[in-house]
Amino acid sequence: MPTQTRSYTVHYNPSGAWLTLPAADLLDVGGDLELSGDASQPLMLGDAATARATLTIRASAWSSIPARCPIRVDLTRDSTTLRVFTGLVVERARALIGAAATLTCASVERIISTTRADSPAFFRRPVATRTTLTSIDDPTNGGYAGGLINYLLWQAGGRPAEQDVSYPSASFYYSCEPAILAPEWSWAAGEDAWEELRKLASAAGGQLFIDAGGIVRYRQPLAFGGGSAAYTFTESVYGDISERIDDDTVLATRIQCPYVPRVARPLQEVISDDTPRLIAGSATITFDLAPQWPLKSLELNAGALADDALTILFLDGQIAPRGASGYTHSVAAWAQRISITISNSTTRPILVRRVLLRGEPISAGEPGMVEAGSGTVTRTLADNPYVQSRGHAQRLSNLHLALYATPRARRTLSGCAFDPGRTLGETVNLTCTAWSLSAVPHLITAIRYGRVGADVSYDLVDVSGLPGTNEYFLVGSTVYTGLTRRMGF
Amino acid sequence: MRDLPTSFTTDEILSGFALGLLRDAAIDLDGLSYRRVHAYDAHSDDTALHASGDYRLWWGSIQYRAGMTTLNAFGRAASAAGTIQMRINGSLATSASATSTWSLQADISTGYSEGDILPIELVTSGNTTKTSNRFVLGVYASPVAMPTAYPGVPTFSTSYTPALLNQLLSTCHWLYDRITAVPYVPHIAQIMRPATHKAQTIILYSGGIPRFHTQDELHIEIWQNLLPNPGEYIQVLVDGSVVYTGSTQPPGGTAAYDLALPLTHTLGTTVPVVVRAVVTATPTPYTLINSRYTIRTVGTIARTTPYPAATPPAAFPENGSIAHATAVSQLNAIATMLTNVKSRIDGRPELWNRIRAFRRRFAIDERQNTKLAKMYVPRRARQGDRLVVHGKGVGIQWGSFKLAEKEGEIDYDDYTFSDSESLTDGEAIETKTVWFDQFRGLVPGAWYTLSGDCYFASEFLY
Repeated sequence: MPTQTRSYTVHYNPSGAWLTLPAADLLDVGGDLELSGDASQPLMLGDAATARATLTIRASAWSSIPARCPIRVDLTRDSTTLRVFTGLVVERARALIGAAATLTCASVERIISTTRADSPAFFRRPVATRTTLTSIDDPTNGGYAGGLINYLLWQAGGRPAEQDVSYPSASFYYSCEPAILAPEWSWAAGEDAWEELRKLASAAGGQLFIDAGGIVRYRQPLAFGGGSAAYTFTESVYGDISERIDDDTVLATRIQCPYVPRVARPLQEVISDDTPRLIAGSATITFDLAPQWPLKSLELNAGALADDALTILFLDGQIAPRGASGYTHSVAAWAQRISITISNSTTRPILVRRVLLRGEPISAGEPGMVEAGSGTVTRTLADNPYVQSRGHAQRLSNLHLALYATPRARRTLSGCAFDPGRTLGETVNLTCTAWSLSAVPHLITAIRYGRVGADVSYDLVDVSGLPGTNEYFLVGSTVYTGLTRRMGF
Repeated sequence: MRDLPTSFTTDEILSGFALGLLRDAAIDLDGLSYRRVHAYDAHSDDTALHASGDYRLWWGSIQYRAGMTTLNAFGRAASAAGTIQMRINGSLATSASATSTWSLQADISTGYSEGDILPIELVTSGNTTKTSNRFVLGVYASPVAMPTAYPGVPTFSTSYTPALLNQLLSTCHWLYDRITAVPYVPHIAQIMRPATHKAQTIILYSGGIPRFHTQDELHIEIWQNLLPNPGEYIQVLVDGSVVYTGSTQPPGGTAAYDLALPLTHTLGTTVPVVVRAVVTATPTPYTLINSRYTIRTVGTIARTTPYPAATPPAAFPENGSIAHATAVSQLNAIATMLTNVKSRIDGRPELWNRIRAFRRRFAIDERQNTKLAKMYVPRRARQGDRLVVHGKGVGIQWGSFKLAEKEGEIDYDDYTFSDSESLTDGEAIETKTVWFDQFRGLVPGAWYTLSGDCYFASEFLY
């Protein structure tokens, strides 16, 4: 049997440049990639993968790697090097007596989580749009039509993996499939971006992965089945296999999905702020205002606020006009944040007495509920702010019913050698002669690795019977004459 | 209404739900391409009885839209004496001799901006008799201009390309916009209006009734609210001929009429319609109590033979199998439905290439305009989503109707509705756009009236 050589290399970026940790300073690498769905629903829509890595280093290297330092881990196997982890240090531990220190690293979802992004309101835009070599993912581009998932990932510093040549220094990369569902209105308002991504994936029926290479991936739900397996797990690859089918859990035969309609209303007053704001002579202030409802649009006049939007006075009561003898201003508007900058053009102090803004608010209507399926075992989907129409709720219910109609076995393969070619969410075949499984398609839902080349385990979910993308009619130039396919949700 | 999918992009899974929205849109547009209309309101009394000298025949407004080039009025007259003048914004725009069939056309292609409310007056000039019987059959602006060209419909065969699907989607949008471009205009209802206490024939309503579809009938809803006269009945005349005679009601009685009477005049034309009360006997002892009528509707309806509905293709499966040939056939059937909608629109320019003017209440001067504010009110059954009003102190009322009481007696000149909202300021003339959904209970099909001094009102689908 040929001998395989494997080694890890750790790269770190303490101050803008990537450095390599000397091999002698790296004592151990451990971690896992896992979807966090529960046992009864291993294909949970809206699930998001998180990756963790634990590095054991020599104590002497402690000062080299500061807090929240970006980290990359590569695995070299038989002279092939692959990236297996991208993230940042979130915890450091050491003891006085001992030669080792431990760095706990989280993947890029921590970077995304701490991103507080605002966006305009998008109307009926799929939550994720396909990233390609030429897709426009830069929101500042006039032709931007990306989904909110794309938007948040870009704002967090990610760039499309397909365009990595153009963005070699990106904080991380992402790759999205087109979502099959679109909310009426979607917008970001400074929340935890990772949680927003999960809600969006849940609303559209899809999953987020951070694969072994550190790429954040959005997968649409009809890609769970039908993927082409490039690899087969056989008895010669795994040491042991265990299987769990939760027969006590009766899968739902009826799905209920709540929704709250969102409708854009006509132009009306959306902010009336009477907070007095003093601006000293020649000074500038910037302040943010948040409308009660997200805005489809803010009333502007050639990029400036409406003439009556700002009431600004000199301290003697005289109105300060716009221009050189009063003030100048600029405004940046997102769906739920308006940032106004006012510069005093004079040497005399001025006082902002009132800010009155008009816009088209997107207000919520009466909540509703739809059902799919029949029977007594009912599962009610969680409230999701991005399920905003009866049609959307119905399609999501139908999707859940299709995915959860059949119990799916979760199988764990242990005693495997680590293979960086296997990625989370990958479709693989599984053969187990003893259980009469022969090249049955499965989805990898968890990868747990430990010491170099040893003791790696995989969790797989049986996806046989699930329709795959290739079973559907696709929009494009494919000729379907004489064929029968499925239509999507 | 108007729930259309987002645009189709390459590589996305073809959604049965999205195609279902296109199918629903085709069904919706097919139905919307038939339209019931109200008669053009001319007068609330006898056009042959008026003061000698010049007087106002008609007044109202239109809202200018880009592309409008002419403002038109047409009608009848009993004699050729004098002229009929059209004034826009108080200035003379055009005039024509008051011949038996007269028409006016003013050029409005320049001088106005999108959204301007144009006040219109039709007045006599050189009238010297009390019986000249000038009759306004209609006032409208034209044409209806669309900002973009009609996209046309695709033909599906081997593939579902974004170009074909998005063309179908664009056509749905265009047709919705085309139909929306012609608003629903409130008419003037008459609430508890007095008729007569004399033995005479009195005209309650005169107007112009168009006929746009072969199925159209004359729809009249009229209530006889108070009949002190022992011999009183109603008659309806179309183009001078009696088409309906009601039964004589007993004194003190009330009666409600919901009539659907045949219309036979040429499609696309408008003829006079008159509703009159005929009193053959007065009570003994004689009283000065007038009978009272409420005229809710004079318009068209397709009651005997409903407007036809196109048969849509079968529904598309959601996450289900379908043969390509079947899917293509269904998509092409949708395209055919849309083509037929377009043809129907193009084939009836009298309906779809004209924006009807809003008529203000029947009043020849400001004194009458104020005095008759509760008697003659703009009214419609909600059909759209958006209402534009222009006027002073305009309000909207809906819900249940109740006559007021005064000193223990019913006051036939005053009433309330269970629901009301103020739309414009009482002091200044304002233009306001409101969305019906903000008024609880004012659902599509519910009737509403507009109170105050309404200069203009029109209802839009979106």
